[in-house]
Amino acid sequence: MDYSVYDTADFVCDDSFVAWVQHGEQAEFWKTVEEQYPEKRAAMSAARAIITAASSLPAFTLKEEVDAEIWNNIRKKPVTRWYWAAAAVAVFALVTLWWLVPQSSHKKDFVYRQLLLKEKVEHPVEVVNEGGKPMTVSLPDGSSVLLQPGARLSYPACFSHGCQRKVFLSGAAFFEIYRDAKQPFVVYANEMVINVLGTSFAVKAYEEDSLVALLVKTGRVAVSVQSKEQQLILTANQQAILTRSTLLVDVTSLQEHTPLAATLQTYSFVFMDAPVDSVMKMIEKAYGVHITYDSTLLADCRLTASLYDEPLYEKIRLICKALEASCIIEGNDIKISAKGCHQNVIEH
Amino acid sequence: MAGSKNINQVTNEERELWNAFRKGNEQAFSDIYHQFSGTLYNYGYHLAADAALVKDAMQDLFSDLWRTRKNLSETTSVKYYLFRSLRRKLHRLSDIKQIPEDLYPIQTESVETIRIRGEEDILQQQHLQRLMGLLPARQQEVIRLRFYDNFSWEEIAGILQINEQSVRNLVQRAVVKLRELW
Repeated sequence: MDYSVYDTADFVCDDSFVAWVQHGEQAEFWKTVEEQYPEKRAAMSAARAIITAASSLPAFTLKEEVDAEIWNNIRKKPVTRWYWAAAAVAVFALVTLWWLVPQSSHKKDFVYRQLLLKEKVEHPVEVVNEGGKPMTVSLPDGSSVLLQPGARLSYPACFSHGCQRKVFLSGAAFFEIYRDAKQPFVVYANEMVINVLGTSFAVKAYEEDSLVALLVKTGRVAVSVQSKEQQLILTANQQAILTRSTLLVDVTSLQEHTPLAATLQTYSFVFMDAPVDSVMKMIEKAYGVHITYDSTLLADCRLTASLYDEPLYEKIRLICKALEASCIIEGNDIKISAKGCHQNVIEH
Repeated sequence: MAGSKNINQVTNEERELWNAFRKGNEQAFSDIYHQFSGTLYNYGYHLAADAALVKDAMQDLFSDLWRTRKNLSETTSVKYYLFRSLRRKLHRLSDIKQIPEDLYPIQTESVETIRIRGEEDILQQQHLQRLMGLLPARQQEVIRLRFYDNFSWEEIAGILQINEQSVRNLVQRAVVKLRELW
């Protein structure tokens, strides 16, 4: 072999040279080469340095517990891909569109009816929005759910009276959960399981859709997928999209001022010295409820308030408190009886 | 130039293990996983820099392996087969991302090995390794496969789905670049 034409790269690519550097093989031979081609010593020494450095490159170690976890998952059946992409990207128009338009058919086991059976909910209370407008449902614990047309919601009759706060959803809804640290609130939406304490969020889970979506407006929400242990924490203005066929979940952060983010703002109110009349109109419009009150008596009343993620009825309660009024809530009808008013401020 | 020698030449022991696994021996399957999980993870992480993704790819890879064990043939190298499959899985699960520059792996070399060599050598080696981190991803991958994971040129060509000459060219370019930066 004529090594006079060799450069550093040639030595690096020479398997026999590599075997010498790495394992000391054919040491005699390479010693002779070094003596025979003194002008190649620099190239050989550089090649040796490169090979040595490359052979002991830093490695990413697989932690024992992760190793065990992977192995356990491999042995578990059926094996599904589980990919939490914690990407902080703007929501694309495509996704926004998807929220507005229901999609093609998809058949699965984890749908509304099956979930009710599976979770053994006896005598569930079911509310269906058969109308053409959003409808507010008040839950026994004080939480409120705004059901979109066609959506249905079930919960155990014993809800918050000795049994878990859990609801089952088919369709799209916006939730405002009454804070109760002792009792987590769980939403079952197709394959998605949403665990919350007190917060507000929107869910879209049509049985025939290929995706399930969760959009968090305030607070923290823990999301998991049926039959999986992994849990993902979502915070305000984050969205999780679950692909039902693969059970993959994508997380994105919402940028402000997107149409989707704006939708959620519908349920946040900041009133600065606002006439009570306009306050009532805004709440009626946002929640699809009907509020009756003596408008002449409250004509001069003004309200300053910041209301964000309280359930609807908590918002009403705060307003009534500020107005020193009494409120009666019956389904979608809210009656406010006030005597008149002073300057009213709700500090929240 | 000396011919390409298969450094990860399959041993009799490995061949037996592979055949036992193909026949459905769970212990053999477990042995194969535990023998290669660490090095596969390292390779995968250098490709994707996403722990969850690499985990998924490995889970997929071994689940598929078990499911399709009856259709598998004898192999010249289990390690080669696994690396090749993992790379394909990762490609399928995501577009392979570049490793962020600030993310430099933890030095795992034992304290003892470091002490044996002179301080100067260590400094030079670390300097070189840092420079290697600046090379284009593909050049880094080839260097790692050849010298760290000890694959033959032929095997690297198979893993990367390119021809052997292209693999050598990548190393040539990497060496030229390293000499420039030195």
